[in-house]
Amino acid sequence: MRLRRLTQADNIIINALAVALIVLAGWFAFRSPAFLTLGNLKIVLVNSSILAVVAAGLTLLIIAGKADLSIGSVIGFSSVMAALSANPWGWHPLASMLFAIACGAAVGAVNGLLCGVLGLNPIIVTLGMMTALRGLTQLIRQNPVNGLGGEYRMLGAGEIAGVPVLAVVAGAVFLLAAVVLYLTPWGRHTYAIGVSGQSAFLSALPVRRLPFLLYVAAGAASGLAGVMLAARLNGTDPGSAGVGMEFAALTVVLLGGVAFDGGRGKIAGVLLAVLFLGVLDNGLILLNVDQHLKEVIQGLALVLAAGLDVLGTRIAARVQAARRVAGRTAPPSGPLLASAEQVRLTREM
Amino acid sequence: MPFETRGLVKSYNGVTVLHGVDLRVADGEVHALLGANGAGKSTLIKCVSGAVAPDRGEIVIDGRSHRALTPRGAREAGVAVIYQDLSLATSLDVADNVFLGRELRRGPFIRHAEQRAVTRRWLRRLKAPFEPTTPLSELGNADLQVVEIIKALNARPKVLILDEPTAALSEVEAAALAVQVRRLKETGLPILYVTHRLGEALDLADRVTVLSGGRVALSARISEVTRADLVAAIAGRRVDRPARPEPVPPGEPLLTAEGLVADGVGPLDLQLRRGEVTGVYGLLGSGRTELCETLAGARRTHRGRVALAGRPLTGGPARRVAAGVALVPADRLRRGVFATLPTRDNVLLPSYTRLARGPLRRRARELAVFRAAAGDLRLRPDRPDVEARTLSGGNQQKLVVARWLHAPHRCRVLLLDEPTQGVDVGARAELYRAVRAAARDGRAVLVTSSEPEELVQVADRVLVLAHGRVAAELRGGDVTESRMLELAHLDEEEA
Repeated sequence: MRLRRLTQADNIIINALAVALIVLAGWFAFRSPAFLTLGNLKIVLVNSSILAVVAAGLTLLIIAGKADLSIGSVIGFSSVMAALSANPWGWHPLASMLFAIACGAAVGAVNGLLCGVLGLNPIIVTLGMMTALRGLTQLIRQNPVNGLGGEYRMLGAGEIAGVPVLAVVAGAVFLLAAVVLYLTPWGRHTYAIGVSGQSAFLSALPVRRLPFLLYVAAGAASGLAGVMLAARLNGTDPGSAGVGMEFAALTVVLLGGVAFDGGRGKIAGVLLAVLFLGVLDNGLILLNVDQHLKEVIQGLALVLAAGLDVLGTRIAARVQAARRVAGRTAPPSGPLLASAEQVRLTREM
Repeated sequence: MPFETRGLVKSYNGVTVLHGVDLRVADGEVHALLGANGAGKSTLIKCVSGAVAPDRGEIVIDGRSHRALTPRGAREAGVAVIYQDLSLATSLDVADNVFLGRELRRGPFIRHAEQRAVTRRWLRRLKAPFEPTTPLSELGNADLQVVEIIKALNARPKVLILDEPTAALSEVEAAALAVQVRRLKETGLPILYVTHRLGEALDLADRVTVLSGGRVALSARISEVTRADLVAAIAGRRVDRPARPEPVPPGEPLLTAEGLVADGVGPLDLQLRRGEVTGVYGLLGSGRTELCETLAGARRTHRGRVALAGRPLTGGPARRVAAGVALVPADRLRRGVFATLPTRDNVLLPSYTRLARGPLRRRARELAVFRAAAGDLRLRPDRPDVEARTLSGGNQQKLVVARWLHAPHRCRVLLLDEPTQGVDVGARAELYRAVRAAARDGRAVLVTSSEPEELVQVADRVLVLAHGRVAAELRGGDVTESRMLELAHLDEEEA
């Protein structure tokens, strides 16, 4: 039973990640006395929190077989809307935060309308959105905005019971994503739509509404990430805020074992991937290693994860077959043939 | 030189799938290979094509014995396998496809004229009614098979294996292909013809071998066996001629269509009654699938009205399912099951929302519904956490049927499009039983099929469909295989 759990395709990457994370943390702790201090661990959490929020939203989209490349531009856009409304326009900070999140959700609604409802190609649409929105943001404001004050400082630098507020927010978003994915019917619908849109359509699942809502949620998450970024920097730069975040988010989602084709993946894996990269980043700084090494490791980890995924699928198939023999839960040959047939079919597709 | 396998044994992880299979296909002989799903046909083909290595035994091709083959080694040894899902490039023309990957070249340039000339010779030889320059998009399914065959022959194989070439063809197309296969005998090649259709084997083959449970259950000259012998060998037990279902008094009309027109359908009128199983027989392209999809809302209705118990029925599948009309689609792999999701999801996906309390799922209730469905349809394995793709075709289909029959939200009209395609004999019987039970429960059921004997067994009345219209309606004693075939083909000739 335990062997089965450990080698299941979904779990193999998560387990490998967990081991890698522990080994990495152990090594950093051994090499640098500064690593395992409360202050430093808080820094790891704070540095990972913005990526975590967007990755949680993106995870659901990718499981549903969609994608969003406009994340970084939405962060830039919403951070500027947050900063502008709070500082020059003088809104109440809470109102300005909600406004910025709503801006992100609105962009998500546009993406959702085009990709979810009208069925356009998500990569193309959100790639266009990424460029257009960055331009729009800089049309609205070219120079950095600074000095947001009040609740923004609380969000960016405050702590609740010793935990940074940013990390609490990120944790809450992950928890919400996990609840939706595992405890509600829509979670199963998300997987189903990712596995086969056609089957989902004929099964009367909400094949348009659900992806639309997932895009809105992902947009809102990116909007929230923009607010968190503005809070942390106590301001924002329209030209650079959030640049490249879409690829960072995609990296952790895939590294966490979510299949790019949709239909497979776990939110826990993505959380581990976020922490793994956060620890890696932090540790290398502490050891004063060239930052480019981080990129090399990050890239290799992603490729390794893809390899593990394929390996995991094969091992899982073998373990399942062996179990079937032992348990005689199936007729002798039918299922084996069916699965081998399936492998051939999926390869051809 | 004849093609042979001797004592072929293959097991996967301790499960023996082939128990020493001897098979001999003489030159110029069409040898039919029959067997239920899971009988070992696919594994045998895989051993010969090099996809898997047999544990014991040998494969003799062109007089040379091989212990095991790689896909490349098999090709070089002269094995040509034509699979039911064709590997043609549909945007290219016939000659390009015949030479795909083996182009005749002068330096980097393709010698188009020569390729076309060679292709034309093949087409003449098989008397195929199209040209080397015909785009594939203009060819029917049988012609596409012919292109695939020529592509294989052009590589000068020593043995030709056709793996269920007619599975996706209509009766007429299958008949056209049969003519071509008979012509292939002239090439003097050993031809192994894998099929599900008994009539085809009886009609086409010189010899027949039936696999059952990985063993040769029967091998004989075709003239020495009867249809009943074959069925018995396939089933592993004696299966009687199809018995008609008990006649039931038809209930009131539940689903009515008037003047229905959609792409490939109509205009037609249709009435499905409570407690009645309506069979729809038609050739491929007769509008079977289109009719089902239109009624289920997956295809646009151009004209006409559909009503459920007097109320207009409109909208897409989501709205029609909510009203109580559900479809079990013909394309099971792509449109029916969720291959990588567990069995529980496959049965319960449309029901999760109704089984939930507020936004939260209730696992205990879900499991109870799943267990009831699995028990009722005799799902094997009956566990909720097995990926659907590891199940046999029949059990996958049971998942899709159970999805609607056991939904907490009552399905009043069930449309089954070719529900037993690629389903073995045992699972078929269980599906028939489920269909009859669904009608007895007061549902209206529509079943389409390309196998007349199936409808004889399961349907109270049969509509014969041709060119999207109802060509005839058969009731009671009139529901026979010969009547259905006759009516479907009669219209073909008139048209």
